[in-house]
Amino acid sequence: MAIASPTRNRGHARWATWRRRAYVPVMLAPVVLTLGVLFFGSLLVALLQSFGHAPIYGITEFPTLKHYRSLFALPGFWASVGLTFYYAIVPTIVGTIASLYLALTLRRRFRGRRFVQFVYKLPLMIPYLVGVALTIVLFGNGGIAARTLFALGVIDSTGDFPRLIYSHAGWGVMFVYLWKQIPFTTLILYSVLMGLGKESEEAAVTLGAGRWQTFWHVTLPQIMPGVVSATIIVFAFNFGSFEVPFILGGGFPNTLPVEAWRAFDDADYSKRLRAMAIVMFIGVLSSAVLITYLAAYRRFERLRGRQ
Amino acid sequence: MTRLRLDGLGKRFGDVDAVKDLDLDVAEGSLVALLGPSGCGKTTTLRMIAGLESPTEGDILFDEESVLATPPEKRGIGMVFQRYVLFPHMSVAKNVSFGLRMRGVDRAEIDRRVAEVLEVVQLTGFGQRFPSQLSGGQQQRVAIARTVITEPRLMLMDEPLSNLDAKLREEMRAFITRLQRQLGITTVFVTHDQVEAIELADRIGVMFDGELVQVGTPEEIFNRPRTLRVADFMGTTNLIRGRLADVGAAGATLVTDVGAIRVAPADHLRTGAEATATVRPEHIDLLPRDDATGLPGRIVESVYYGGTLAYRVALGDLVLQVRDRSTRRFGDGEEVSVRIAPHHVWVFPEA
Ligand SMILES: Nc1ncnc2c1ncn2[C@@H]1O[C@H](COP(=O)(O)OP(=O)(O)OP(=O)(O)O)[C@@H](O)[C@H]1O
Ligand SMILES: [Mg+2]
Repeated sequence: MAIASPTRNRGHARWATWRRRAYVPVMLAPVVLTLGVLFFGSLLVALLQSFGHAPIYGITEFPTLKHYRSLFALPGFWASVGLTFYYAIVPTIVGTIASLYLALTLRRRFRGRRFVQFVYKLPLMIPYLVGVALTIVLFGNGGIAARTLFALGVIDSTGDFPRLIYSHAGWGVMFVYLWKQIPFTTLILYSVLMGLGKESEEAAVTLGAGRWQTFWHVTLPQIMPGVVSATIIVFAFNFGSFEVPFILGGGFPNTLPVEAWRAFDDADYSKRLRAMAIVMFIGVLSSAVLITYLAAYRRFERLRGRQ
Repeated sequence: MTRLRLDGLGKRFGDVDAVKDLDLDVAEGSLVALLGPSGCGKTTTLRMIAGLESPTEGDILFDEESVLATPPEKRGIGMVFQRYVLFPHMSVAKNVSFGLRMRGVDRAEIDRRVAEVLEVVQLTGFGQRFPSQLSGGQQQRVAIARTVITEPRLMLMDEPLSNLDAKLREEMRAFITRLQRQLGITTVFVTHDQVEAIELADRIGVMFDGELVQVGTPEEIFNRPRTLRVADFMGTTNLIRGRLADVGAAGATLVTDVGAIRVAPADHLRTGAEATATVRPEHIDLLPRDDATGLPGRIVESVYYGGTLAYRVALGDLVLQVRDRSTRRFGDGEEVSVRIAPHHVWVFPEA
């Protein structure tokens, strides 16, 4: 190797240092730029519009709170907030419990396990809208369930079938969520369980723990990170979901995303600013819930000594 | 105290016979080591005793009562796993108290016993730590504490020391011996290390390919192995082939190419039979050539090993390994007299 002059050597070293420092930012740039423009850019536009800055509609009232104020004064607005939470939380809880059970069952050996392993994932590959159509076909008043019950003589006319869809109780909405999300959560929990292995459960059993005790004290605490991630994703999706409550919900009032869409779709362009106010409100509510939830979970983990 | 008996125990995984027709009797309060190479079925045997695996054949009896229908949590066993398997999300105290908590023992009693057991395993003051904050040896002691606190009828230990370094292993070996003697818990200890088995066990069962080939005291297994494979597994040994002659009450003579070697009496010796004998390197004496009581040999090589001299000695075509503890030293190429006491020559009952 030739002996390089000191200056050249220093220049070389500086270049190497620069390269090392720039490596990560350069590699991240495409993601950061895309995210920045698509996500934060549009978020900023929505935020400005909700405070009255919308030159494209010829509205320049910035800054004003009137769109927010009109929102809170709207009849049915708080019912809408309640419905949004209801449709988001109930399927998340029910789905998580069902998925836990399913994931634990799938881990055991039984006949037809491979078949079940394959079939349960199918809804993951099918769009929500197909699930919506399926629900209408199954549970609509002229649907398969109603006809079957009628044919069996359980109900006197298909019109007597309980309103499972187009009602504020939201059975249809939640059915679609569960149909899609149980497979999703099960998939996550099943992989977490596979990673965990059976050893610690076997240790628990040899120490005298029964099945329920083993689940409660050993399995669940160790798969908690998976449970938390899955519930966060599912909750956030349900909270912001539009098409399912729009089609299967009980009409006015409907969930916040549906109300946002209605305001946006109004012939009166100024309503679009209210739509943006609703969007902002959804974001704030959903973030508040998720941040509180995560903080509670961190506290729980710290109590158990994890860092 | 519980007596454990395995009766014709067998386990098939698909077309693999992991354990075959295994009979074993473990006396109350004794420690039996299952010794064998990797994959010979040691863990599978333990898991069947624990109830984590169900046998495809045979029976498992605690105090002459079959436990096959008893689920693992009701068998009253304590198991120490090859990889400790502490609960990572619980403190040391919670790990140790786990078994008692599951049995609904009251708080004050739990606290008292945890303190007591932590003292026995010398981990007083570590109660609030988490497993990730402990060394391997400490984790292993927690694993042991966690099982002994429930006062199990039977302790099952699956290579509990294999993940520790040599010094710690020695300490833990002494610790386990002391603990087991002190508590008197019937114990099955799995290992692939013959030194560990000899040091710890009252009796050793040697396993190959899913079969228990010999059960006996460490002394029996070491000095009177049933087969060549057992002898080989128990450490370096010399093999001498020959034909048996003059079998009688006083023993027999093994006639070999390098001379006649006297053999102590044993039931399985037959005049005229081809036989292989084994002699441990430390049981061979080397004397100066002018001693006429031994076979003539020549030193091929000598190596000094802390405290002993290891020689390779040629007797014609036969080369013997010899360990000599005396202070006398022979040089390479020196002519010597090789003497083997009859009671140290062991003829395999099975080829
Ligand atoms: N669940 C299983 N399915 C199929 N084969 C298995 C299973 N468990 C063990 N085996 C096979 O059974 C045989 C004995 O395994 P085992 O784990 O009992 O060996 P071991 O003596 O404990 O070995 P090591 O010293 O490596 O731990 C091996 O051939 C192994 O591949
Ligand atoms: Mg093993």
